[in-house]
Amino acid sequence: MEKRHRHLREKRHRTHLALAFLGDVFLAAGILLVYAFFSFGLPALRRPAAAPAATPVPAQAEQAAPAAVEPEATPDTRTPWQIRFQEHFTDTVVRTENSYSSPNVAITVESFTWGEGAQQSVYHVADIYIASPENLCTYTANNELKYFSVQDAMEMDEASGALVAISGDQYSYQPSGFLIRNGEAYRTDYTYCDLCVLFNDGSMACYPPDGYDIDRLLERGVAQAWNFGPSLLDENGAVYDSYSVSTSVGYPNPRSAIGYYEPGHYCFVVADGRQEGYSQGLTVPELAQIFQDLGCACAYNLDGGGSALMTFQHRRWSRQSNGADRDLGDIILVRETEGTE
Amino acid sequence: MSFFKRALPHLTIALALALLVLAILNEFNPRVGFLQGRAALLLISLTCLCAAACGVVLALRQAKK
Repeated sequence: MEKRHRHLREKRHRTHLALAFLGDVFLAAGILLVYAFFSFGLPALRRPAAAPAATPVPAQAEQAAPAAVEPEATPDTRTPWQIRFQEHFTDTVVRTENSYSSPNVAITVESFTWGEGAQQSVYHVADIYIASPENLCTYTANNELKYFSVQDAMEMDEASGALVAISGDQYSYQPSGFLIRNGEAYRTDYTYCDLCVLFNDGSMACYPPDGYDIDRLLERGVAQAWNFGPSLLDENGAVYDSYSVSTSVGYPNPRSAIGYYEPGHYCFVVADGRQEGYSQGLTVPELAQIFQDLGCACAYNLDGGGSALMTFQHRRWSRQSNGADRDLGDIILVRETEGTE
Repeated sequence: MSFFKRALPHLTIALALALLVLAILNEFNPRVGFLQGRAALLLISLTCLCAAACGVVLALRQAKK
């Protein structure tokens, strides 16, 4: 009898212990819910930071590149960039399988291979010349600036009129940061990652987390500000000795990145990855090496992985790792000047 | 005090589990910043405090024995 009672007591004790540990798991879930509310729910409910007056894009005469004006009897109405890069533009729209040129935009897309055998990776480079800063812009999901807003990448490509586009920095998943889209401020907080800024005059610069002043940047006139990183090249256009990325991001992965040569001349690079037998992907140093080899003055890593995508003339040019579109927060694109075609 | 001593291990387990989930999520998607920000810092601090308190209680109990 006593044995039976002892057995029952032990069984009850074990049950209580199991229930107590189950309670701990539910308590952990509750803690995560509270954390999620304060980290993501509250910022979503809060109004976005007050946007400073959108700095207008300066008139074409104020573009940064010096104009090499040729002496002519009639006044030259071309922009400084159209004059500087005139060998790339054409008088009419010319399209081929991998290029597009017009009086305002010149794009050439090529695919290359990095490495061999099982380590092989395929990456795509879009070389871009534009006549005006308005030709390089961003399009946000559903054409709105909103937390957690995402949209199908090809829908955004179609809606934006993009000639060439790549994935952005998934701004809509970021609870903080200095985020500007087409001159409109979405957030004006400091953040822990490198910053990339495209100024209204067409110049681009990358900054470390503690290397910029938001007010000074805004005074200068910011068209786009991206928070992702890391910055890929130093001030001399050379690869850094090391890059601070998390372990999983440091492995070979699909990549998306933007490069800058000078005002009016940019490039997009997207690497396919996570596809055995086709393309394993690039590490961050390998991606940086590509930009150094291209001769870029500045380059910035964007959202890769399943988000990495390049489109060209409304077709998917790169091959996404997950086999289908991942909805994106935004895309960076080049489009025609309004009124062309 | 007795309630605190009974609740402390369970609180520590719950906080540790929550932190472990966030660490795993952060490894797969660091851009969201699961371990960044004030909420994460508070969670980490609370976990450390509870773990330390647990350790002290356990050490005292062992010393009594």
